[in-house]
Amino acid sequence: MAVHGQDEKKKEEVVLPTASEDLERGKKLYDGSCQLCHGPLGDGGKGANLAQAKLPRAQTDGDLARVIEIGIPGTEMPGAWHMTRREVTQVAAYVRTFGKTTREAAPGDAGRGRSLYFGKGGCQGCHTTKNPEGVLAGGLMGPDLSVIGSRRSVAHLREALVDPGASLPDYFMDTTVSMKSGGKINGRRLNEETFTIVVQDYGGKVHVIDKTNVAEVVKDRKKSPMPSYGGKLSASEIDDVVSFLVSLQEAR
Amino acid sequence: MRLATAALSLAAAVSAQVPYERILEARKEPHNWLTYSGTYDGQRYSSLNQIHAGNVKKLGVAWVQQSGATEPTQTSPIVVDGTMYITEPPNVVKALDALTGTVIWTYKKTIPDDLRLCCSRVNRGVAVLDDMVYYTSIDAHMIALDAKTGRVRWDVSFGDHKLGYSSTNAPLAIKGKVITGVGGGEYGIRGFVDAYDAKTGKRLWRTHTVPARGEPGVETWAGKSYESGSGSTWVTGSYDPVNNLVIWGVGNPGPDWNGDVRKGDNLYTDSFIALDGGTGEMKWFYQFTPHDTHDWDATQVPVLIDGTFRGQPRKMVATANRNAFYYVLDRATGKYLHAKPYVKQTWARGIDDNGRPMMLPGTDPTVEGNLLYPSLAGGTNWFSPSWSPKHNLFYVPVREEGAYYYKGEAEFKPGALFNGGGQRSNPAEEPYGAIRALETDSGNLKWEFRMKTQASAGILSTAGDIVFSGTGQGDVIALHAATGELLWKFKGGGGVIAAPVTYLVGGKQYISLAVGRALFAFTLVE
Repeated sequence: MAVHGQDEKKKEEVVLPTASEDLERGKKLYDGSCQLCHGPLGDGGKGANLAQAKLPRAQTDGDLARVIEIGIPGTEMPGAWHMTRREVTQVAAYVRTFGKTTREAAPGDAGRGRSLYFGKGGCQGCHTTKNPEGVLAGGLMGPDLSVIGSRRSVAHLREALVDPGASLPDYFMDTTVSMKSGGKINGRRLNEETFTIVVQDYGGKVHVIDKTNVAEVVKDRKKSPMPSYGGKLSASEIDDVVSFLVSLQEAR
Repeated sequence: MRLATAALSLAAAVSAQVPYERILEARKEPHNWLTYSGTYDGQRYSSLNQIHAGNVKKLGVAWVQQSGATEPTQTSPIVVDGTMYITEPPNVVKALDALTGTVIWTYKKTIPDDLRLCCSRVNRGVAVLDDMVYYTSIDAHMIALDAKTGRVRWDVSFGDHKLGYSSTNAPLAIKGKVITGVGGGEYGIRGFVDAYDAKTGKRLWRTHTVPARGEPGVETWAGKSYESGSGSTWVTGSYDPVNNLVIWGVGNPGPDWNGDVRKGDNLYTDSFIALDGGTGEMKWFYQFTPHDTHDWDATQVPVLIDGTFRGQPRKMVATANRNAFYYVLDRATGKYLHAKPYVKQTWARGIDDNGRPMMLPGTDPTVEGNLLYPSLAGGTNWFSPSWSPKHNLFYVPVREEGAYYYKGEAEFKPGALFNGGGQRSNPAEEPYGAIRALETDSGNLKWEFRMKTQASAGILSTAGDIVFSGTGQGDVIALHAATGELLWKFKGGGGVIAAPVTYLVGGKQYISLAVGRALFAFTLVE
C-alpha cells in the first residue's frame, strides 16, 4: 500500500510516548499485530527477538518506528500500514520495554557448541553460517543461521532444536505430491501456480510438476525435515549448541 | 478476402466517428468495442464466434504492447474501426493499430508528485464519443483528446489531488455527456458522480454520494461524520438508455475500519445509485452493506439483464458484491429481489426480505484483530464480471480468503490517510481464487474453475462458448462457457489485473488482455 508522494520517510527525530495509557494501547496493538511472530513477551519466535537492549535493525527510536511502519523489505516483516503514526510510536514504546527486561543468558559453552554444530550435529548439512573468511557455507535446505543470535531468543533456539516443527517460517511447507502414474515426491514447495507445482525434494533435486499428472497434493505446515535433537544430544550439549547459536551476532 | 481487408482499412481511415447511436447499438457491430464493458449494459459479452470452443486451442500471440511503467496495466481497450485506444500507468493514453499493435499516437499527462493515493497510479481505460477520446487522470482531471491525433481538446479538474481526490476509472460516454466517478475513499473525500458536456468540458451535473447538512440521508451519519464520509466511485458504471439511468457503484464510508466515529447506515456508501442521465437526480439507491466496517465497496460494474426471474420476464441489475453476496435488483426501481452468498462469508445470517443484511454479532474489527470472511479485498473486487445471454450465466472472478480486521485510531485530517484500522491475512490458511458461473436468477453455482491465487482479472464471455480471463500468476485462460472446462492457456508472465475485450479486424477476431505490464492481442494462428 505505497502512498505515492508520501512514501519517502525522511530520517526524523522520534520521541516515544511514556504515559501509561500509551504503553497500554501499545501493548494492545502489539498483541493484535506483532505477538504472533515476535511472541507475547517479545522474545521472538518466527519473528526477531525484541527483548534486547539494542535491536540491530532499529538502533534509534526513529528507526524502530520506521521498521514498524514500513516493515523490512525482503523479509517476512510487513509494514503496519493500518496504524496511525501515534499508534506506531505507542507500539515502539511498548517494544522498548522488552529490552529493559533481563535476558535469559545462554547457559552453555559456545566453543563446545561450535564443535557439536560442525561435528556430531551435522547442522551445516542443511544450514549456512559464515566461515572465518566471512563467506556463507553449508546447506541450503534450512534457514541461514549466520546472525541467528541477533534474531532469536535462547528459549526459541532451544525449542527449534528439540521440536523443529513448532515454528516454521511462512515460506516453508512440507509437500508430498502423489503422481497419477504412481510414485511420490516429498520435499519443500518452492512455488505453486494454477497449473504447476515446484517441489525441491529433501535430496536437493527440484521438480517442476504439471498438475494434470498429479493425483494428490498433501501439504503440512507443521512438519520439518529437521530431526529433533532432543534424543540425539544431551541436555548440556543442547545448551552448548544454543550458546554457539547465540554467539552468531549481526555485525554492529 | 483481400478486398474485404482493403475496404476495412479504408473505413478505418475515414470514419473514426462514434456518434452516441453507435454506442447505443454496439451489440450490432461486435467487430468493435465501443465502451468500457462493450455495451452499456455492463455484460462484457460479445456475439463474435470466429474463435470458438472447437478452435481456441489455435490461439496465439498477434502482438504485444509494453508499457514503460512500474505499475500494472489495468486498461480495458476501446476498439473503433481498426483503431484501439488504451491507457497505461501512470499517465499515458495511446492509439494503436488494432491489427498490428503499431502506435499511432501517444498522449502523456503531466502529473504532480504530491498525489495522495491509497494504492497505485493505475488506470482502466478511455471512453470514445464522436471524434473524441476521454481520459481521467490520476490527479482527477477529465481530458478530451482528438481521436485522430491525441491532441488535447479540453482538460478540466474535478477534485483537489492534495486532498486525496484521484481517478482511475474509464469514463462513460452517453448522449452528449461524458460521466466519471472519483477515487479517494481512504482520504475522507466527499464522493460524487460527474457529467461533463462532451464538446466543451462544462460540468452539467454533480451528484454527491454523501449528503450534506439538511439533505436527505444525512441522518444516517452520526454528528458531523458525513463531512469526511468518502463514498468514492472509482469503477465505471452502466447505462440503461430506456429509463435514462446511469447506474453506478459507490465505495466504502470513511474511515474504513473504525465505525465508532460514524454511527448509522452511512448512505449512500456501499450502494448502487441510479441517476437520471439528464439531471443527475438520484432515482433510486440500494445499499448492500449498511454501516460497513470492512471496506466492502460496491464498486463493481452493474450488469443490466433483460431476463427471467422466477419464471417471469424481468429487467434486472445483477452484481456479485465485495461483501460475498450475489444480488438481483429490479432495474427501474432498485427494489431488492434476491441474494445468495457466492463465496465463504461469516458476517451475516443472510439478507432479509427487504434486502437488509441480518448481521451476526461480533463482526466489527477490534484492536486485537477479528477474523472474518471475506477479506478486505472482498469476495470479488472491481474486476469486471460477465453475463452470457446465450448460457444465461453470470461469470464472476472470486477470492476465497478471510482476514483479521483491526480497528485503529481515526482522526480526520484533510489530505491524510483516513483508514481507522486495517487487516492482516490469516496465516493458518492458503487463500485461493476461482472463476465461478452462477445461475442468473438464483445465484446457484453452475461450475467453477479453481485458481491457485485469488482472482484479480475481469471476464469476457463470447458466443463462441468461451469465457476468457486470467490468473494472478500470469496465465491467460479460456474456459468452456457451459462447463468451465479449461480449453486453452497461455503463460503471459505477470499477474493479470485487467479485463479482456474482443474485436474483429482484417477479417480476423482478436482477444486483447493486459498481462502484467504489457497488453497482448491474440488471434487464431495456422
